[in-house]
Formats: sequence, C-alpha cells, structure tokens
Amino acid sequence: MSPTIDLTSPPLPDRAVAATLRCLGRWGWRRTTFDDVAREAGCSRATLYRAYPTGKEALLAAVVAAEASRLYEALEAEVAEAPDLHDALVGVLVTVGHFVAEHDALGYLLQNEPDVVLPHVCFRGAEQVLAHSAALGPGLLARWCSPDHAARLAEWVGRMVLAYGLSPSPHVDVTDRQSVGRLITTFAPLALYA
Amino acid sequence: MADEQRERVLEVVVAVAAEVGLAHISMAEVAQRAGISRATLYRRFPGGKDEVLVAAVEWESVKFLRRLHAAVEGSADLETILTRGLRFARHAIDDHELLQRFLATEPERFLPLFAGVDDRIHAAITGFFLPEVLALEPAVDPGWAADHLARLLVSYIGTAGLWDVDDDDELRDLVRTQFLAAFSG
Repeated sequence: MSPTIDLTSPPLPDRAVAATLRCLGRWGWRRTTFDDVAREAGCSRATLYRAYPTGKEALLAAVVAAEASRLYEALEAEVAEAPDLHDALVGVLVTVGHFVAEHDALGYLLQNEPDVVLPHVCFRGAEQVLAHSAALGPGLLARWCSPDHAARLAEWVGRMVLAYGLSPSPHVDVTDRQSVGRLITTFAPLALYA
Repeated sequence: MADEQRERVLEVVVAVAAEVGLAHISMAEVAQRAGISRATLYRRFPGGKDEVLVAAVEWESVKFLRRLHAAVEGSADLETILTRGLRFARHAIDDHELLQRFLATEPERFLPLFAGVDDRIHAAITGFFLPEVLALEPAVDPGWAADHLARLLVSYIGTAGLWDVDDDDELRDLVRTQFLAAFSG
C-alpha cells in the first residue's frame, strides 16, 4: 500500500503556530499545555516534540517569529502604497495598531497574564522591541530618508505603539487613520528628517 | 493611621522586599518590624500584601519624581528641563539598585505592581508639563501636548534605544527632534 500524503493540510510549523495562537487566545500561557497544542494542531505529542524539543518555550519563539514576519509583510504592503513619508508613517502606525488590537492571543495575555508580556515592553525590556522597530526603518522608509534618520523615525514609531497602545489615551486612537494622522502631523519630527 | 505611621510601614515594606524579594514578603513581618499589630496593618491596607506593595511602589515613585523635579528646577525653558530631566532620570533608573534587582529577578511580580501606579505617575508628569506647554502656545490642545511629552519622557527614561544621552550633541538633537518638533513652528 502506498503511503498517502495529505496535500490539503498545511505543513507542521504553520499548524503548530496557528494552534499555539488559538490556545493562547483561549487559555493564556500558563494553562496551555504542550498536549493542548498537539491536539489543536492535529498531530501527536511525539511529532510536536521532535519539531520543538524545548517544548512550550520553543513554540512561543516560533509564534513570535511567525507573527513578526506576518506584521512585516503587512507593513511592507502598506508602505508600498504610500505617496509620502507622512502617509507611510501613518500607515505603519495604524497597521501595527490594528495588528495589536485584533491579536486575540496578545489581548488575552495583556488582560489576564500581564506578567508574561510586561517584561518585554517595560523599562529595558522594551529595548528589543525598539531595536527591531529601528532595524526595520531603513528598509521601509528608504524612499524618503537616510538610513540613520529612517532608523530613528522607526524607533519613534515603536515608542508610539508602546506609549499609546499600552495605556490608552483620550487623544490618540492608534487604530484610527485620522487620529494617527493628527499625531504624526503634530508630533513626528518629519520636517527635520525628510 | 497617621501619615507618619503609614510612611513607616512603607519604609519597612521596601526594606523587607529588598531583603527577601517580592514573592516572600510577609504581612506578619512587616507589622512586627513597623511596631504595629497585624490587625492594624490590615485595617490600613485591607487588600493585604498586594495593596501594601502597590502603595510602596507608588511611594518610591513619588520619591523618584521629587528627585527628578529637583534636578530640573531653575531651568530657563522646556528644552533645558527635558535635557536635564532625561539625563538625570536615565541614570537614576539605571543606578536604582532595588528597581534594577526587581526588574532582573522578579519582573513578572514587579511590573504588574508598577502598572498599578503607572496612571498616577503619568498624571503627575503631565501636570508638571502643562504650564510649560501653555506658555509655548502650541497649535494643538495643550492637554494633549503635555500628555504626549509625558509619554515620550517615560519611554526614553525606560530605555534610550538608539540615543546616547551622555553625548551633549545627541541629547540636544533628541530633545529638539523627538520632543520639541511640535513647538518649533
């Protein structure tokens, strides 16, 4: 009998990432077990362990990497359409704003297990997030400014996401294009950088 | 409970937390070292350990804000306030031994406590900036401008990212571009 290959099923890493995200959105980090993810991904515990030998931590790392590249693709698409630096920054900030606001897993964690997320966004913990933002700048904003200015502007956008995303403001809604437009027009150091 | 006694309790909480960590601090020990009964301690802080820890974090934050305020006192303008304040606070945070220890060893316990006082810290800094901002007659709602400056300041105090605040030229650039761009037109 020849082995059957199911061509309709996505590869394991995709299924594992999607399964982990669903579990996190439903039960959070502590209550999600490796078995839950295996069941959700439709594979055996052994198969999942072969792909992620360090267990839950490895799954989380895979989720962060996959979600980061999904976000980056959305940002690239957004910036490609932008006529100028102002609109590019608005697009970037709104895209990240929506990404975060609509992220079930992140939302659940921020609401119910803030201790899992806060170490990565507060004080020195934010360094990595800001360094990633800055590193994306030169690629995304190359049409309008020098690599150094692009990195500083992108870091600024990262700070805005954290500053306005984590503690809501009556003045700025990071998911609203008009509101973000006002923020950029008023406070982004555009004239100095373009 | 008189304010003095409350301060005494919070002082003890900080001292005990420094010795045993946030996870192992006990209300019995706090009461004993503050020289009050457990009943009195719980009357003052009905929320128990969580409440007393949040109060201690707030108390330490207020002390920090007072030092920051003293560091910028007598500044001639907003640019000088921001320049002095940023450099002072960036170092004060790095040199704050207890804060750094909690961030390194118990971030999952410390940060949710800090999040509990975050709003009040933000309101205090915004309130400080408001008259400065009003004096500059910004084109936007001054309340928003002050709120925005407070958010930025907290962000850069937490981590300076690409910016070297010990370099005079870079610090001036940082303040002029990231903070004051809205006020230069």
